[in-house]
Amino acid sequence: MATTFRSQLSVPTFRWLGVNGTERILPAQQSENVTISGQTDTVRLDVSEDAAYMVTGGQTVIMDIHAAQAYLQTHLQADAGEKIRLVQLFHGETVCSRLTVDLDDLAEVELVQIYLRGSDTVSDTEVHMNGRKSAFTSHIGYLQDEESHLDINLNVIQCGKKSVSDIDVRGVLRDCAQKIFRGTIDFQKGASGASGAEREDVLLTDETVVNKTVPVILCAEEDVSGTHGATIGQLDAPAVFYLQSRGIPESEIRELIARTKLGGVIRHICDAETERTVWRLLGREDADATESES
Amino acid sequence: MELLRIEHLSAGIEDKELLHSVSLTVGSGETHVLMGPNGAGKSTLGYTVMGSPEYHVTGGKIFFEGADITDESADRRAKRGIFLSFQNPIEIPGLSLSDFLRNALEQVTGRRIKLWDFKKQLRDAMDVLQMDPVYAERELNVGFSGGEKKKAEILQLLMLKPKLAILDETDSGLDVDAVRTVSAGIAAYRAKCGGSLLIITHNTKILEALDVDRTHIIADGRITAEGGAELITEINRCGFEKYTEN
Amino acid sequence: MKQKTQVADIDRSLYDFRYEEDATDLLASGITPEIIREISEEKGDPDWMRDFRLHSLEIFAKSEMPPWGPSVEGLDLDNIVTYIRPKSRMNTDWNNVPENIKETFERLGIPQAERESLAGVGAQYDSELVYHNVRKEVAESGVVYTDLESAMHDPRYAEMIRTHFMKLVPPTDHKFAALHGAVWSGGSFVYVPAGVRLEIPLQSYFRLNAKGAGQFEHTLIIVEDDAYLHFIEGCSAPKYYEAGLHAGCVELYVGKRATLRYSTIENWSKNMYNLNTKRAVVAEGGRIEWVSGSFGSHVSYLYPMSILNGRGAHAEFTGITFAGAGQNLDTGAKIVHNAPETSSHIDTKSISKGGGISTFRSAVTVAEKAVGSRSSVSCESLMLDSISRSDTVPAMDIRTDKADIGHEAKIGRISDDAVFYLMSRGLDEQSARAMIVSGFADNVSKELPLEYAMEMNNLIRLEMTGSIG
Repeated sequence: MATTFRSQLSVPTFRWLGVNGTERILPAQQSENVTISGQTDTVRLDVSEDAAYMVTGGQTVIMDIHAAQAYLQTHLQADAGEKIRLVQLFHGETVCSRLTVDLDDLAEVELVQIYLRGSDTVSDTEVHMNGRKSAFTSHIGYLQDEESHLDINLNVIQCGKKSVSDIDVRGVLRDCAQKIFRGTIDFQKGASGASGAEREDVLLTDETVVNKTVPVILCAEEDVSGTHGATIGQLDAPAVFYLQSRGIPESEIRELIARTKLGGVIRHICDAETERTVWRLLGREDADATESES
Repeated sequence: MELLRIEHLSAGIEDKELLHSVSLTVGSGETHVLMGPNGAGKSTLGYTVMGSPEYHVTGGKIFFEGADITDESADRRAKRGIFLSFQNPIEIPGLSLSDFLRNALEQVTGRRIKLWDFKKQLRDAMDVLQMDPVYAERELNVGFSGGEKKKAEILQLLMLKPKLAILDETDSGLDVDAVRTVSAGIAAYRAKCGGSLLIITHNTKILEALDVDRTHIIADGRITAEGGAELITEINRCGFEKYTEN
Repeated sequence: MKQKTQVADIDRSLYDFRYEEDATDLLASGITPEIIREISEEKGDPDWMRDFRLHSLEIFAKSEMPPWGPSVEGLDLDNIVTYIRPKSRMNTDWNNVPENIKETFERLGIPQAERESLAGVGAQYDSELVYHNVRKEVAESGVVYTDLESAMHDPRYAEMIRTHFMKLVPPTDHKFAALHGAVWSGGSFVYVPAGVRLEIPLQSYFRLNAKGAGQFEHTLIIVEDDAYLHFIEGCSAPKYYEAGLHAGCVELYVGKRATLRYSTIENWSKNMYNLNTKRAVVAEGGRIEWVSGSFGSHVSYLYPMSILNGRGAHAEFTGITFAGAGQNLDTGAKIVHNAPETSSHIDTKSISKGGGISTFRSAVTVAEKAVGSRSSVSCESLMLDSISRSDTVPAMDIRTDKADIGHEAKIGRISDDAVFYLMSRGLDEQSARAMIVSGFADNVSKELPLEYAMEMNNLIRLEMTGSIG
């Protein structure tokens, strides 16, 4: 039986903006829930069809998501004091991903998501920071071109005292690409001493792109500090002239800055093989980064 | 041999004309000094020769090795061999100095450069400037002190080996040691590729180690005096007053 | 809630018509085409306006409540029917005005006559004397400043009203815009001819005497090319209406290279639902400057919208919202960049205290053709305790690469260091905190004329400490 996949903004806003949510009809789910636990080495997962994963215990998981069509469900259970790193590399076609994260006391989760092309990607992440002094860090990078659609929703709910969240998003939109990023930091009552920061930096390089950014902060606690920021736009004119004056043509400057933006996210993958894969997908066979890392 | 020829160049920013019919010729291997009080149009000249889109040419022409480059983009001019050291180098977060330089070098030379060769060249150049090698992996100009930015500009000069280097107030805000280092960098550039220099300055410390061929004084957007190296000594003694009132 | 006790005072016989029409829609149940016709007749509306009202009523009956934002469930629409019914008489007197309102009048030092006017009871405050001088100067400059109803009947302006009225905010915009279209009453009409720069601000405060005005009032301002106007709406004294609903509408037309500054200090009584719609359209090189202080009401929905239709048009929004106990204030701004090289700047502060909820909500859109546009948004929220709430819900929709858009938001509390610093200089803690909050609000106070800025600071101090000075 088909099911409806919904990804919704934490609190609805003006309807005419069309940013409140997204729906996709998914065919029947076949995937079994696979539990990943207690592995000392990095776990590499190749996602080419529907899949469901449950990750517990301190470890690193790298997902290479290249399915033509898939529904991916992932749950990260970071118990007290444990640390989980999850890298998700999206370069499939029509992909819906639901990621849920639970953090207990002193738990840490680092999430790296990279979105390259893909005709229709919907990624919904909900993070529950229930634990005291829990920490959630995410590095999200995207390069979308042609007719691609990317829909990201990240909702970080901070209940834990002194919990710390940090969301850093960098992306490039070209051609007729469309993207929406909804990011919420939700400070719940009782989250005293909590802090959260969220930033999105979007470079638009064609006049036909559509960028939507909705950075929400919800706050029901006095003793917190939260910030969010967004910068959206074109290359900075003085910077373009500076680089041009060193002999780099404008078309190459766009490429260079685009790579630079993504490079800042890619280096957080901390896995040479995956980093090489990403650079290869970006058309850099002799990838600068991988060479200089070695 | 003639390298740069500026003919009756008028240029400005937005609606304001800042240079009025300036003419100037720099020959191959020569060292020229452009001096003048603040706001005289020195930097405007540098930026216009480099092709900054902020400045509009309203009259006259710029030739480089005989080719009219008045309407060319900055990267085309750079490929021809023009280099401008910026007074305030732009910070580009996320882009490492070394990635940037390798890219620029490949563009200017039109050749791919092996990483190993590039790194060696870069290390050598950094040695000349007594720069800590870690700067190669730092983000371009981000968080650099004034002196570090100036050194990074000279580093690019050494790496890109242009035919003409326009140095815009490269010595300003530097302490004595830094001026010495920057001067050594300029000397190395001269020794290595014999390029021409057009040094924009209102102070003369940096010129001490150089054989100046020609000095141009600019005031209110016009060249008001020209001469040899002796003009620098005179400016040092008497200032610009004599050349500004007319 | 005090609201309940007021309802008990209403003459029940007025509800008799309640089930006559359209019983399926509870909200429309009280307001019937008959009542609208009665209003229209009493006001002597031209035919087009009567038809407009009836058409708006149909839209009102059909449209749903906003599915986002604070709840308006507590809104008592029967009470509104009572109020808008033309033949009904206000059966209230000063004694029915809630105590907290009276106290605030007392503290702000408002004269008794004025208090009664502000409270919407008893004799109308005769402001004509005060107003006379202003009117003379204004008339000499060729500026028209009158109430909208008279303007509609004046052959010189009738056509202008017909071609502009609710064209910017059509009744289809949302349910309460439709209600406004059906029952609107009173309000201001200002026309500033091309090239006229009016140095003194016009203040709608003096115009809130007409019956129903200040509640469903309609403000229509046309500033022609190269003209300048500063219009000030409201005042810091709490305005009290039994009906508990304010659904006003403001439409501003700003000509080429013209500037309109529209300042509002609003302090509706804490039983009010303030569902106000404000919108400006700006032509080439024109500027709209909104200065907005929201202090009162139980629930507010207020997002002045600027539509930048001409090349180089500019919008500026400076706002402060203070949500205290029992208040849910959802405020912000909307900017539509619809032409090349348009620019906008939003700077807002919000404060939540004593269980109050404040939400900053914004929308910035940049159309494909708005190349070279720039926008910056900065919003800062202050939480004064942990029983309050403060949310920030901005959205940006950018459809050209030739744009520079920046957004910054910050949420936090009063720093202990700052309080300690002031206390070390001899202030008690409460005053220190009040002073810091006043400072926090200075983005708005420095944009207001001095007397308004002082009133606003008094208001903040009152909210913070319960007394002035």
